[in-house]
Amino acid sequence: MTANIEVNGAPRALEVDPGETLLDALRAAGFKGVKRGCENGTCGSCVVLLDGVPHFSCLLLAAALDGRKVTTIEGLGTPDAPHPIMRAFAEEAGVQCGYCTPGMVLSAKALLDAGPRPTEAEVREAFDGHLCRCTGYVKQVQAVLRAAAELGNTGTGTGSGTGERTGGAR
Amino acid sequence: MPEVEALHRPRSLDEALDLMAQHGERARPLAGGTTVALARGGRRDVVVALARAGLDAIEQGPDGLRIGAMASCAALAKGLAGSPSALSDAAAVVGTRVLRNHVTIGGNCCVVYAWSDLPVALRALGASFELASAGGRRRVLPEEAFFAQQPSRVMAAGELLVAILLPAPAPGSGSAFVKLARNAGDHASASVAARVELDGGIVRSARLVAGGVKGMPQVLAGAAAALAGCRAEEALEEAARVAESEVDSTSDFRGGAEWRKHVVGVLVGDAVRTAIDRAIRMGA
Amino acid sequence: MSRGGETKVVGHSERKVDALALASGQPLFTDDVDVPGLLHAKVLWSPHAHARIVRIDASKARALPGVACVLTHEDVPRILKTTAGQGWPEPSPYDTPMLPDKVRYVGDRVAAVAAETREIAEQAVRLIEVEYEVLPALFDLRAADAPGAPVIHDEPDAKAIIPVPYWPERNVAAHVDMRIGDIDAAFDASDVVVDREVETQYGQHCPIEPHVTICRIDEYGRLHIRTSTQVPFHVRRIVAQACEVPVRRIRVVKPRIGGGFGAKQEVLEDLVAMLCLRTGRPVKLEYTRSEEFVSSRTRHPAVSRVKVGFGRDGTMKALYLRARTNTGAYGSHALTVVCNCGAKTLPLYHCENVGFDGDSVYTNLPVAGAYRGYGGTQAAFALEVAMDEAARALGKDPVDLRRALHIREGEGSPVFRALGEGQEGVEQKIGSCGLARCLDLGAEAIGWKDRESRRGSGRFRRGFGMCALMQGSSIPEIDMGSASMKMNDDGSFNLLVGATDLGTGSDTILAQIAAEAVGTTLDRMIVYSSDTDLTPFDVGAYASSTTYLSGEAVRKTALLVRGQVVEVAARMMRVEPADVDLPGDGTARAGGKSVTFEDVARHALYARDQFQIGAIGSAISHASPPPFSAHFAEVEVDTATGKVRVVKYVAAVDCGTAINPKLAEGQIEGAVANGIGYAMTEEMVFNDRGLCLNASFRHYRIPGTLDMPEMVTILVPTYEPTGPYGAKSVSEICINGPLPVLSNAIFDAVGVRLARAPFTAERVWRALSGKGFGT
Repeated sequence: MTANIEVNGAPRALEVDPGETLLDALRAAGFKGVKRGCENGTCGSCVVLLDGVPHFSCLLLAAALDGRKVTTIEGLGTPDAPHPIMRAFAEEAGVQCGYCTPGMVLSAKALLDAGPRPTEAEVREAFDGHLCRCTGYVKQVQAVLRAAAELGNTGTGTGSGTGERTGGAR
Repeated sequence: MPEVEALHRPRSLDEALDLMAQHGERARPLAGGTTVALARGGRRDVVVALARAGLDAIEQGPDGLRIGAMASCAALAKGLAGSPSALSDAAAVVGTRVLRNHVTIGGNCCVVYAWSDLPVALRALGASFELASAGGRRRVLPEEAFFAQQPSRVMAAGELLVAILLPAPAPGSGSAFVKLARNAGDHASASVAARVELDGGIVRSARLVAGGVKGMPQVLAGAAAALAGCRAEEALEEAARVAESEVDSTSDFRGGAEWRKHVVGVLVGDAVRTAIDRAIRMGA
Repeated sequence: MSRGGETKVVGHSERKVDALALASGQPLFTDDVDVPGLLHAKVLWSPHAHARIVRIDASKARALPGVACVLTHEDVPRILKTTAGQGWPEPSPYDTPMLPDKVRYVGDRVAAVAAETREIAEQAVRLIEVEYEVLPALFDLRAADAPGAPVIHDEPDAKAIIPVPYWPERNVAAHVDMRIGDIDAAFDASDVVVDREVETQYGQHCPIEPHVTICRIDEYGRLHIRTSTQVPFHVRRIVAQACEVPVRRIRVVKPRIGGGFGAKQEVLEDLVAMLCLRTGRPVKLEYTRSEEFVSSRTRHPAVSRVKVGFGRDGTMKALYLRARTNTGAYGSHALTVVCNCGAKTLPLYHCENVGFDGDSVYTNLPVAGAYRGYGGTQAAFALEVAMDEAARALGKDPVDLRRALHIREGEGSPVFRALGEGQEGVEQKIGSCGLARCLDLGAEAIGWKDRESRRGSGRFRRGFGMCALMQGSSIPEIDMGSASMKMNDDGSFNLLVGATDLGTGSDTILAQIAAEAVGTTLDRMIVYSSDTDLTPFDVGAYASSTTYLSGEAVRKTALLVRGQVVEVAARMMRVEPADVDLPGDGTARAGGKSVTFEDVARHALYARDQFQIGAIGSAISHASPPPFSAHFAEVEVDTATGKVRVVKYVAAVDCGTAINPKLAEGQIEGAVANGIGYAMTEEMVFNDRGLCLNASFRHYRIPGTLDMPEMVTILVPTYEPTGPYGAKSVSEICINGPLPVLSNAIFDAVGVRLARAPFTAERVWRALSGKGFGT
């Protein structure tokens, strides 16, 4: 059956099996930034924004979403024109293997869209539902705080150096 | 992928109920999707997606709160933030933050797992459940009837849960829900919801419900009776002891039966203390 | 940093070269390509822990429309091999066929299907009829070699291919022992003896991307394997062995991979390769999350016992470690993990009498393999808990005890020589050690001095714990890495490395090393890795070897290229090569003259006496210099329920020079998070038939953002003289800290010893009962 879904601002008529998840439908349509990690709504690597709100695409049936708006990572930016959150993830070393990154960037976007200057605790809360096995989450949280600052045009510097170095924060 | 023969997207409750009636036993309502999307193999369902059937309103009426069955945990946690209760506590700790954008109060009540959070709170709060079926038929079940067994067995074929009704809190009352889990976002190893009514520092009545330990939510009548008519601080230890002994528990990888019974006792204390604090703040 | 002089690229937190492509969701991973005509593979997994396949009938599955191929043990050659992706000859026993006629755990391979869709493949799997003769099963690692225990590998052809102990008739997959000095006499002469046994559980790596492989026959009839692996060259060799295809007919490409942590050091590609060879069509095998838990690989569970004797003055007289690891149904990494239990712990402290007995036993449970920490995790738990108890018995501060005893720069340890990985070890002297500074800075960051005042007295008690750690950097005299590099028209370079970036950032740090050595900026370094047709050999990403060993190969290669650049530049500027200076900005200067690398490249490629500026270089390691680390944690224990909250965690790490400090911190933070998960919640639980009950992220709980404590990461620079720009390894060491640190902190808080991980609320509560903590 057909699911008329707006993906990243462009209307699409997705031909789907009625039992097909949005994850499978999006990947079949070429949106490979949506990742398959657990297929039971726990790891967050398949997160997309549904009308601006983070959802696990593995728990949504595509056919049920007729008329809804979906944002995938491809709708946010490209390596040449990255979204400020993507850039902050890259600058703050918030990307290791990168498999969880698109989902986390999208949840961060929903957070910053809702309120421009979240606290660190709010960023951590926004990532509840995303599992990352590489990083320990410190750098992603810093990345979102940095992106928030940049989006608010206040700017922060980041250090790099070779001396004794203390990082990490909560 | 779940095996689905057809998926319908009704635009109204009546349309949804007609579809439910038409497909009978094969009809499967789709709420938050956590159960349907995870189904594998087995029967080929006809899915009735309820997202646009107009069931997600949260309305404050003179007799209490009417919560549409499709209200998400995220909406509940936000919508009830101003008046903390066992329900807002529970809605805020169902799964993870992203999952709470999916999980609906109706879905969480219709398919009950041992670890489900909202049914525990709703039993403590004396909720009732509004069921509808085609042809304008409605019935309202009190919580003890709705949760007497797995609700799918209580509900007739073609029947939908459309709203959860919460009585307005009595003056001098307060409620709370507490949960112990292995880590954030995990299902409950044990949980307790408490509702108390105070009268000048004396517990006039209490209702205690345990979840997460075994099967359906369990009403802790003995522990509640131990509190009634007492100053809570003086009776809490006894209530916890009674709760431990009356609750039925099981062992799995979330904890052993004996420890779970003990934790229910601890959580009774925690939940009752918070409920009393809230009651006092509400002017008890 | 010192000794290396000022560096321009190394030592700076350059942006990871693939970060923006990954963050923007580019199709970089194995499954992100659309392959026309792709078949989907599914495996029938054993429902029994131990059973002979008496009869297997796949005719119904084969008859199902859409099924292209079904393989059972009757359809494939019986070639025993190891799935351990190790250098040849592998120290792991050859005990694993592609498809067995006897299943050895719930989740073992029984048959495989390739079909037009995932759904048809699943349906076909259900149609395969198997008759089993169920055999008694063995689940308890302590009972594995007891008389009468079921023999798991009773097949006559299982064997070790190097001369190491292998006694399958007693379910012993590996054994190691070592004696230095006279430990019995030394224990007799000790004033304080601590004897502590600890136990660690089945845990899984949980890469967020499960194992996935796409095989196809390419346009030239070669087998092309696109796979999520840490060891592409070992995949090529072992698939060649298992499928009886010459190495030259196989190309393995590792695209970006979604984490590995050791799980993807296993070569599981043989089955999907065979499906591809048999059908001639592209085939994908992608594990589900539950398959990833049960049928990929796990950490070796272990029972580890440390006995340590001290003189009253705090000198360590004798140190003994007994480790028994559970390798599960097959012996992948059995010997090397148990060897590392001793090798990565026992050299840490000065002691003249050291003993070690280790064995690794078969059970009818999932197969253990390589997992970050690799034996160090299991044994450091025992050693560092014993050190904590010793400090209490001696009346010493735990930090002071370690400070007094730990190995220092310039010192050796007899253990280095006695214990290798599957063979004798290699003598080495410590070239760099910042552990003393790690202890100081870590103690300061956690507030060690005033911890007594912060304990609390009610239901919630705070406690503080610490430990010291070492690991290694590569397997000496075994591992090899190599690189090749060539210069392009515009003065940029292609850097080709066999090393495998599994998300760690190794492409980036290797490019930094190359840019530094050749004298240019990072943006002019185009790095390509892990393609067996195009990149030179590397053993792969394991044994904490990439920065140290592959990095050294890159440095050597880049220096060869630098020499050629200097020569051409000298010719162009009509000066002597010795007078040419490369300041690091992609130019060459001499006196007042200067040419750019672009000028040099154009000259070399187009002007006169043309040649390709380029080189290939290799490195082997003669030592395995340990990184060192001190960890500290603060916990809060709810004495009513037993629930423990990790409040703060400090890791101070000496990894030599951090080539990229932010990426090094990321390695530390990720390892600590994984270690905290293993210490606090992660455990695969089995029923009495060997079935894993919690093979999903819903039920096997790894930490999320809300579980993480306040985290402090401290890099303590030292300069390792044998490493590239002074670097040592960083990836593994910190996963070993949380088990002992948190056990020690819980003891500090409430006086009970958690010796069995994970430290669940129930275990803490049980330990507390009778200790007088009320609710």
